Amino acid sequence: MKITDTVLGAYVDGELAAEQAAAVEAAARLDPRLAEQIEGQRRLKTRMAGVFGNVIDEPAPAGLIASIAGAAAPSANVIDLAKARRDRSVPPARGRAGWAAWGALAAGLALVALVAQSQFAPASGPMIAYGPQGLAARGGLARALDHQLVADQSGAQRPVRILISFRSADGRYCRTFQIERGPGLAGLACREAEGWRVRVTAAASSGPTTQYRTAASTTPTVVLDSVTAMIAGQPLDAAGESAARSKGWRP
Amino acid sequence: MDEYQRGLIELLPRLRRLARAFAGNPADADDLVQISVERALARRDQWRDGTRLDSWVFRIMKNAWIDETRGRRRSGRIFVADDEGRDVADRTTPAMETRLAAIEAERALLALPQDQRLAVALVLVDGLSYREAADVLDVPMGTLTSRLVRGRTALMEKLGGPGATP
Repeated sequence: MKITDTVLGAYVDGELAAEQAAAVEAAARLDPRLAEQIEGQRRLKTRMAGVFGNVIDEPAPAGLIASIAGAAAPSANVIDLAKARRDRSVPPARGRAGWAAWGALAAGLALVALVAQSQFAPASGPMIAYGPQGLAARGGLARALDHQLVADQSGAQRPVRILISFRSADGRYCRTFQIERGPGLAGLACREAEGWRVRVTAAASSGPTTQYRTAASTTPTVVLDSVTAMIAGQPLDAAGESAARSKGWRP
Repeated sequence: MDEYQRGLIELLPRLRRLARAFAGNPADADDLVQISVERALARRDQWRDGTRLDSWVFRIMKNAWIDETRGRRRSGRIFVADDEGRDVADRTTPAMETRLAAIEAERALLALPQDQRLAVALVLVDGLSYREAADVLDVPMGTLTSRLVRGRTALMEKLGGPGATP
């Protein structure tokens, strides 16, 4: 049997009858190139099955659900408080109410940051302070955000590690950090005209970061989600970081 | 709420994903989902009980999308904006590396010509059988399989290679 691309695809998609599939398998045993093609197509299929996986996982917009549910007889519209609360807690569509949500998140987490401040204050002055513009990086954190590059942090244990540097969709330079002392605090700061503004903070993942752990595996989900929501393109590479630093992290 | 409405709500995550694969950017995809749901609700009397609701609504979505593209995009290719990196990124994929690999695959899919993109979206992304996908697209099986082959070849060229990330 000649294994055309169509047959190969149908095999990988499970569309062949048993005896045809057996014939493909027999041919693949004799032909390593065919076996490799099958493997390649399997990888492609797995990869495509994960495309827009984030859309599958996120809750559908409450308004859409309500419009379907509300298409029934009006008598079905009994107010369900629990449902209303759930609907309200659905995160707003990204890109529209994005910054508003940011504000709420930052406010909710401000308490965490203030606790962090008091924890760190005795040692070396506060790393985060609450000012007129919101939470601002201070002291060792501000220094690390200004000077440290992701690429050259190996070696000596530093009080602050920078894990990801990137440009946000609105053109700011932003960096995620992890304060290694005390109970640990991770967060995300963006460079504004007046300095580094802390947008998100979260309790650090347990255990110190080492060069053997990737940024993604050590960064708390809430911080990583924020990166994902804000980032334009890809994280800065070493050259991009270095160039941004020489401009003072200004756009 | 009856079975039909419950079925539609359960279908929303797959509908939203399919709309992204059809339309590319999130705003167009949201509009497409909205239109498809409205039409599915308006035509519920045309749905034959016992047949598959997913194929039925997917078909409504396909027709809505074709109407849309006929109106404004003659090439059949969708417009992938410069800030697509941000758009396709969205949220929640836990690992940065995984997310970047996903963006690459999403871009490759969105770069396919429309015929191939729709076929790939239904079979490889959503996982429909050839028969179901051909029904959704209103094309013979042979047409579906040849679109799939061409789509796969293009995707392999972009994403394939021996060292490709799984």
